[in-house]
Amino acid sequence: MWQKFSLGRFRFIVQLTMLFFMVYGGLIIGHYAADKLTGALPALSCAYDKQSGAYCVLIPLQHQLHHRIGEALVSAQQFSYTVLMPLFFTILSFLGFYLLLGKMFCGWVCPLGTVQELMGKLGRRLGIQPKFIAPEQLGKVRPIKWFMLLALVLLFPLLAGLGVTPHATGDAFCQVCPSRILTTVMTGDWEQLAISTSDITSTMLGIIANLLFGFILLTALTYRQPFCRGCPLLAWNSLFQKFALMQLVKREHARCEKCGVCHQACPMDIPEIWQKHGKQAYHEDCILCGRCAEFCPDDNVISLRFAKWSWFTSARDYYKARTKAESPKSELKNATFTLEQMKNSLKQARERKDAK
Amino acid sequence: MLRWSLIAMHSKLPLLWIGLLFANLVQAECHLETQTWDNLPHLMVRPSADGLQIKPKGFKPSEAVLWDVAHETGQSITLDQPTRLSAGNYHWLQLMGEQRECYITLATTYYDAKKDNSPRTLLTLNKTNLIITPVDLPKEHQQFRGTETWWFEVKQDGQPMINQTVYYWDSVGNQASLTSNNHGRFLLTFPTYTTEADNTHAGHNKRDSRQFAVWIASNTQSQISGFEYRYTPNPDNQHNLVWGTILAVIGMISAILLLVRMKKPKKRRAMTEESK
Repeated sequence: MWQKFSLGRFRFIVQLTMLFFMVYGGLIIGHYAADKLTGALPALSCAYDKQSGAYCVLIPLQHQLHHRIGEALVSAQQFSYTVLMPLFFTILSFLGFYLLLGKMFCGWVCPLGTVQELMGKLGRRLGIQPKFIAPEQLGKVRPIKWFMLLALVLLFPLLAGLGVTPHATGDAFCQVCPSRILTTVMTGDWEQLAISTSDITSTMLGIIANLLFGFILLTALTYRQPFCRGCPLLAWNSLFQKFALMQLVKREHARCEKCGVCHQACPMDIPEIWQKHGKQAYHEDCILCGRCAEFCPDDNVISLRFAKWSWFTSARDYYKARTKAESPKSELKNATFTLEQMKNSLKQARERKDAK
Repeated sequence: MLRWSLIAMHSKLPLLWIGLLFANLVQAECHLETQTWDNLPHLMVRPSADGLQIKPKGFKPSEAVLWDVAHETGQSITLDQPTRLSAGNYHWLQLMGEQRECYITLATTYYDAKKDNSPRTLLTLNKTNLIITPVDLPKEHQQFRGTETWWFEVKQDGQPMINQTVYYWDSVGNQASLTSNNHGRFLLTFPTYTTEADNTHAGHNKRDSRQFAVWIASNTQSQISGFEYRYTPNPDNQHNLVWGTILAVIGMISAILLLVRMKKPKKRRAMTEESK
């Protein structure tokens, strides 16, 4: 089994493991351990999933704004130790998580991201051709994630805490998040699919959530990662991506101008990885999946680094072997990719680098 | 005792009759099958700025002990003044006292939103010789809810009580008797509870809840022990799964329509190019 190995395959195994852990983790680590783990790693799966291993980072963030800051300001409590300390620790643990893994959460861990990729693979199997968002259209899509972060994750929970907007907006993003419905339905719990009829705000948010859930699920058959493009977690992660130890690095190369295969391979259709280099190539939309490095046909142009350790770098032989299994545009081919091939290609790339 | 009461009633001896009737009532304290929600002892716990305010109703406890997730030994507390909590997560509050020759233990839990250890150890601690506890308590933001089923267990002197009758009551008059299994456990399905009030955040809004109690008597019928807590409306209360599913399907159809529509212009373009 281990002979069939590539970075993409390794990432896929990690994704499936994390998907299982985050959706059914409560069954493995115990009923309450999930709560305890949430305190330690506040960046995992959905709080609405009763079997989950932990909670998504966005739920404590919304709760801090709703129940601590908003309500504290309203009741004119002492805005001091008891309010600030939990907030400080929440932010500190967020930073700790992001400083280590950076945006790998999006590309390697997020359950909704994994399911969208699975739907994409299903689409390819069904013969549905992948579609791409053209660079000129990205300008319309990219601001969505910032709007989602500012309005639904930060503003509405704060306003709910201040008593300006209804209580249902206290976790406004969770109310429209398709992952809430998806992960709970995966455990056989249909509760989150049901529309709340208790008040108009809950009903409206529920309608948006369910339409979005259905829309995203089927759009993923052809468009790669449709929800990720507007996900507030991507925007939140991008705030810290420059400080994270895990980075994407691209050096300038003469052949890049004519190539563009990395752009074709990118599930987020980021043209900057092709057109730019250095820090500008690591765009805010990047989910650190590493496909650009896998599908770069030149040695040592694109690398994935943890601090100064370049743990995966592009290599011509790796590219040749990789494209036998899958095209950069995610079209699957009936070929296998061996661990030996990967080792050899990386070895040859290192040798060529040393020779230069 | 009942036979003596009947004799006394027929013997026209009022004093003896009253005396024996009183004796009947005394005995009934430890006989759960004759109890109602209103006759049972209750325990009110309310948070305040100074701490937890604990008020027993229907009996006067001689001892009150509070356990938390950070300590394995309980802390004796006085009910005259609010009790300050030194840990987060769940707390186990237990009142004990003797009333009319029946030893009563009544317990409840209180959840504090502060992060702390899980209540796993707290639930398994040997807190009294006769105890009835939930096997799991609801996680953060969750509640016992109408129509949901949860495991509870009964123990005497640390040993599971097998095939024992456990009695259930709630504040709206529902009552039932259940039997523990070979592991001293029993499944409790909460009654259907629907309400028109806003309960979208039932975890936060404790007004939309009913009190319930489960009680068991010791083998010698000299002691009773209860656990009292609350349950909130059904998960499907004011929720519509049919409409939820329809909307999700509409979302899927709109995705298909969008994808089909996006293909057409290409075809048209190709056709126009061919015609040229």
